[in-house]
Amino acid sequence: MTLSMPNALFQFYGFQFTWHAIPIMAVSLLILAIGLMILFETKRTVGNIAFVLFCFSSTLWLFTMGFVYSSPNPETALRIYKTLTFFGVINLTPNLYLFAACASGLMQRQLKWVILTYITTYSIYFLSLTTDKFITAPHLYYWGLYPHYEPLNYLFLLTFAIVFFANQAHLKLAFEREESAIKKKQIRLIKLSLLFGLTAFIDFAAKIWMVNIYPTGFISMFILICLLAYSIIRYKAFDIETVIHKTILWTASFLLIIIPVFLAYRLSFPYIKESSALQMIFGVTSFFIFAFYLRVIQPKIDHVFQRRKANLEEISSQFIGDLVHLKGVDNLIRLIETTITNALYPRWVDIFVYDERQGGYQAANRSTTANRPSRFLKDDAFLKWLNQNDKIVYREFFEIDPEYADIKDVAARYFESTQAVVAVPLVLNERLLGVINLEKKANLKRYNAVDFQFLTTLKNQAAIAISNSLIYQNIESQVKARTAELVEVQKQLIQAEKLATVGTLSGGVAHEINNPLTAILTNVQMLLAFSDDEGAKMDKESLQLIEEATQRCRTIVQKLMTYAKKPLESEQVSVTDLLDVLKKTIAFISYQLEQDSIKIVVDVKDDSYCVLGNHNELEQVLTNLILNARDAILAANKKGNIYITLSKSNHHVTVKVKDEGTGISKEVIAKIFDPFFTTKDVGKGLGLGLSICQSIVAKYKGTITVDSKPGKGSVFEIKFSEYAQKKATVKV
Amino acid sequence: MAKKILVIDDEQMVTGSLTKLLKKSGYEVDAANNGVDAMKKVKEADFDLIISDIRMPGEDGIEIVKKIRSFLKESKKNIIPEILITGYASEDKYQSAIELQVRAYINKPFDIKELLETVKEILGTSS
Repeated sequence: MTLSMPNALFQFYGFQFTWHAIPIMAVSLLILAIGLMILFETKRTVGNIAFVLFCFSSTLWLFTMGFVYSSPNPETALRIYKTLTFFGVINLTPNLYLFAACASGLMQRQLKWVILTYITTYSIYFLSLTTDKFITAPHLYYWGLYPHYEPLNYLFLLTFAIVFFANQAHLKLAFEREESAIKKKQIRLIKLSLLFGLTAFIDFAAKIWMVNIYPTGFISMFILICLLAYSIIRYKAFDIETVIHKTILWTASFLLIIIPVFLAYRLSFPYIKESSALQMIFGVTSFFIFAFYLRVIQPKIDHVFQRRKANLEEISSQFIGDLVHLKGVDNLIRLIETTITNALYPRWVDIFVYDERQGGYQAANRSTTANRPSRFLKDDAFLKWLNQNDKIVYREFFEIDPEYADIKDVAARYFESTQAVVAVPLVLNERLLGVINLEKKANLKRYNAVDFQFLTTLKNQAAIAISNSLIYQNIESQVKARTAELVEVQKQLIQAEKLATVGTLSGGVAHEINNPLTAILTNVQMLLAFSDDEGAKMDKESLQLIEEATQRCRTIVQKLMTYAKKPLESEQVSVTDLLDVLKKTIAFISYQLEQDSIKIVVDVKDDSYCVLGNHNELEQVLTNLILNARDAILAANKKGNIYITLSKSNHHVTVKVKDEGTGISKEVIAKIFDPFFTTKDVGKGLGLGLSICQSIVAKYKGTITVDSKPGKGSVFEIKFSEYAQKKATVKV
Repeated sequence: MAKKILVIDDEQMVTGSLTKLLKKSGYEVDAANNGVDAMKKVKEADFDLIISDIRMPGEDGIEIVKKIRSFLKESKKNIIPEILITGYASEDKYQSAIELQVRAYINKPFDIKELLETVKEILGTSS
């Protein structure tokens, strides 16, 4: 019975189960798993894709070869071989060529040869499909059916041989030309692997000489693929353990599905062979089982290996959430440290942050006493490299990964001195803000790909957060410094204004003090001049006058000193009686006012008017207001009164200072509280009096207002909250 | 006959001292502590010299001098020479004192020798 081709390919019945097909098919599945792993877990470079295609070709070759072994008849075997197996076989050559060309770095120059190889091999494939000149009916060996190559097919073997030697030559060339020791190692590994792969030719022995030796080429092929896969992943920060575990579990679980299905088919075969409907049902059921496997079981297996990853994702999202509430670099550093410690269990974490003032990287999370460096210079070679590449460096990889070839020595020194095994740069806008060093894990496990993924997320977030906090800290300290400066300047201004007041009063003071001095001098000189001819009676009277006058002088000087005293020396805020303040103020300036024929009329009803404030400052306010009133009266060329009223209402204390002077025009009133605004002559104050009054009053939560009619006079009104408690109980 | 001097100052301390000094020096002295008092004294008696402070509450020395002068002019009495003394005078007060063309202008505190010599000089020449 001759079967039509689709039947020969897809109808399983009639196949002779042979154990010899099992190893070859199992290995083919492993190779498939390796190919998939490289496809999904590494960068999709041309070289890697070539390798994946090489794996797929091998799988096709070996898996279908299993069917060839167990074919029911030579025709079926030949058809399967010609269409599927041989397609896998011919694909090995160009894909390996492509891979080797990429590995040797000669891809550009080799491209046309690679394409030529593809064309040649595919031509052979199509020729072998359409003619009998290439592959002929298989022989039956003890392991099963095995096809035979006609002499024309040696063309294919020749192509393979040429490509093989070309590969070896190119790799040798690349090896010699390469300067980086790491890359040299990688190329040598590939070269030796390919050389070893030559042993797969043992399969062809049976095809050429028909020797009865079990074709073990699949083992060579498996080893070759393992070695090549290793050459790809060894030089990447790649979690090889996880990959191996995953691959084994995928294969095992996949076999767990495929073997029962296969056995079920074998067992149910006698019952369903007559009914294509039942076969269809079986086929559909199998499909759903496979689908179930791919959609449900395989993801679960992945999840087992990625559970830690999920956990780390939780930690990093928690970290990002915490960043929002953080203030200050110190708290941030602490958060980064605890997050890394909780997630990866390093023995210790060192965080270095760039310090503008020091011009280097300063250890931010530990004391400087540890026996590792606590600061790095800005132009440290390794840190510069980190800044440019923004890459996490793992001590175990920088020695073997070609990417780190340029900085191998520098990195070695860095890791030596820091005793770290992982360096995580914190880069933002091409600026290295800091670096995190991690020591080995406390459980001695290695850092794996999942850990690095976690660190990558963390480093980006941390860089942004550190940048923000540094800016914030900078602004904060600047604001603090400026505020302090302003406070200082204001203090100085208040003092300056005070001294200016003293200056304007100095004329009056001179007059005031010169009177007692006159008395003293006169009497003393009299005593000296007339002591000879006059008696003691005269002396006593003079001495009394001298004493009185001296006391006066002392009082005047004291008054002046009290007023000019720096506010710093009596800055405390306490319950202050405004009546007391008023009395002291009047005592200070009444003499001056009397000399100018100005009288102060005080209207007070209560014993005390307590507010919270500073006696000295409030005295300055009243002095300013009274002296302004005096100036207004003098400017009007009048003699007059200043009316001062103290009153209480609605828990407020009000002080009114009213004069009958010139008054203030509307234009001027708008500016009188502005600093340095003055209508007085040069030398009569700084123009700060009312400005300072206002700031002092505002300091004690009071208000100051003015009401004035030009030509009639002005009223200044200050209002404070009354301090309700009895003065005596508070003022200790 | 001893010359008669009127001392005007709001400070009793000053008038007291001056009175004592001038009396000791052989003059007859009377004192007033404000403008009103001074006018009263001028009307009651004839003085040979007036020594007055400038800055005083109420009427100041300049006003008092002017008042006395106009009184003397009205009542056709002899002019009395004046000495102004001051502890401190503002620019404009000083200016008006100059304009008054008083006989002498003495700053407080002064040496008694200076005052006595000035007094002697004025009274000596006027008599």
